[in-house]
Amino acid sequence: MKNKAHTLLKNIIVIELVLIAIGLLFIQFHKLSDKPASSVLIIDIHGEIVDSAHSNSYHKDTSGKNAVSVSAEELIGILQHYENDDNIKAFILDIDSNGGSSAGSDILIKQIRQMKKPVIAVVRDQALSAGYYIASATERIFANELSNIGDIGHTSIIGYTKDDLNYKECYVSSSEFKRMYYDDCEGFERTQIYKEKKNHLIKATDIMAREIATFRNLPEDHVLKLADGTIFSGVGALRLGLIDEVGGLHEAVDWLEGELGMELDIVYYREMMHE
Amino acid sequence: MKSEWKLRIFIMIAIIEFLMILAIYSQITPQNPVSSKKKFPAVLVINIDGEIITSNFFGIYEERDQNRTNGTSSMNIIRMLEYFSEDDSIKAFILEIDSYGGQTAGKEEIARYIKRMDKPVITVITNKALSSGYFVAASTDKIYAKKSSQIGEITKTFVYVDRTRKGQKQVCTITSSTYKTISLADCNGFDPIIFEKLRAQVAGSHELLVSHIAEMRGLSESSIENISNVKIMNSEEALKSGLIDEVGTTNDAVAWLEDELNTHLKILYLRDMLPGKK
Repeated sequence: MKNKAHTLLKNIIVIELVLIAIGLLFIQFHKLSDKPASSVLIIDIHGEIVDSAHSNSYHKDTSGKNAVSVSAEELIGILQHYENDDNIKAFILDIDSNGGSSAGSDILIKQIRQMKKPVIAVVRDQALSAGYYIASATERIFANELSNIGDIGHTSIIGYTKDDLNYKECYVSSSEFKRMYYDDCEGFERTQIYKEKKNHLIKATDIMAREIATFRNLPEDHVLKLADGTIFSGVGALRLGLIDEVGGLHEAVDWLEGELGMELDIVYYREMMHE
Repeated sequence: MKSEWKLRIFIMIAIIEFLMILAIYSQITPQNPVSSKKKFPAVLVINIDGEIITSNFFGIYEERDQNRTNGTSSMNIIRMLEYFSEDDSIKAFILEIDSYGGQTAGKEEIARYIKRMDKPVITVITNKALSSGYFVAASTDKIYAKKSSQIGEITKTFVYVDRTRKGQKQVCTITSSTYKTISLADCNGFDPIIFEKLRAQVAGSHELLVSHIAEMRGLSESSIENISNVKIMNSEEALKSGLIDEVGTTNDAVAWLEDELNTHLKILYLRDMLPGKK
């Protein structure tokens, strides 16, 4: 009898131990099978925005450390790829660009507007011209107090041969204030090609300003007045409604967490490139 | 029959042991990206050298020649502060600053992130903290400067425009010390509207810097305005003006932190942890 009870007790202990072990394993497997945390993907738009695809979307300078151009087509590819990734809940465009190709910015803006997941922008040192245009297409813009913002307008380069002697590359712009740092080639202003190009750029800027007004929910007249190539500081841009908030990456993530009602890990696309 | 039971129990015990070992092993596997190994409490020293810029592709420091660091990326400094804030053994941070300034956005980003941090961050100015370099220092909890350190140009901001127009070279430079007195004649050939835009840009940046530095250092805006035109101060002068808190070295700063945190602190240098560093 005593022996039977002893065996029974032994069996119970054994079964309990088995259950504890299975329980612990279950907890652990549950932890391991947990989907990776919800994340926000940071995508850099640094340097000049170009439309065509490179072998590497981030072209760097001779030191290999600074981005000098970024391809719109590749950025579109990244957005499309991670739009289908369940772990990525939102995107932040980390913008530090003085503009670039209008064809490139147009296709990128189209993609941003089609995204189902939130896309917001954080302006670092500058979001000028096409750089700002892209930022304006996002849901919310954060910038530093003294970031350089605006420069809304268009410029173009035309080869000009004065008196059939000196070939020069001359700049035409939609406004006096746009790209005022460049040589505007004496005599070029009187040519027919200059006048035609300038008219074209003024029309293109008009369309750009109206689109920014729509994206930013601002009166068209207000944005048309700002579209003269003027560069505003972050605080100036905030007053004019060109940005939504003074802040950086972490303030932007705070905002997204509030909007989505979830904690978000920050994933940097540039770091994934090196993995 | 008895031996069959014995065999069953033996197999069961073997299975249990196997499962238990697996469970214990998986429990002790570190989940945190920062190693969970037991470490001594430490203070991490991060150098901010040269020009402070916003580039993300910089590595942490840019080296323009092999022996000197000429630039520091604001985003990568923030990434390091963020990463080591999660390490329980790192109790505080010291920024060793030797910077003559940089992009306005870069300094703002570092200063704003420091405000969000829970762990103490203090500054030791090694050689110089000018302009944006000082702004970053001012955003920390306490500033030490070495006896020979240079501090100044604390509200320096300027625009410089060089262009050729109608065949003529035109240069316009407006600084924080000249924006109030400069006239259009000093920027000969510039459109009055453009001149006014440039002047307003400097005025706006200057006012923001004065108000931020006054707020961060607990000083009045008028006292900052008064010293904003003083070119460069030594640490004694900076101490009298309230721009720094102590004249001392990194060791003095660590001693102060040890007192504050009531613990002995090992000194770790970020630069020693970076790959390829001597």
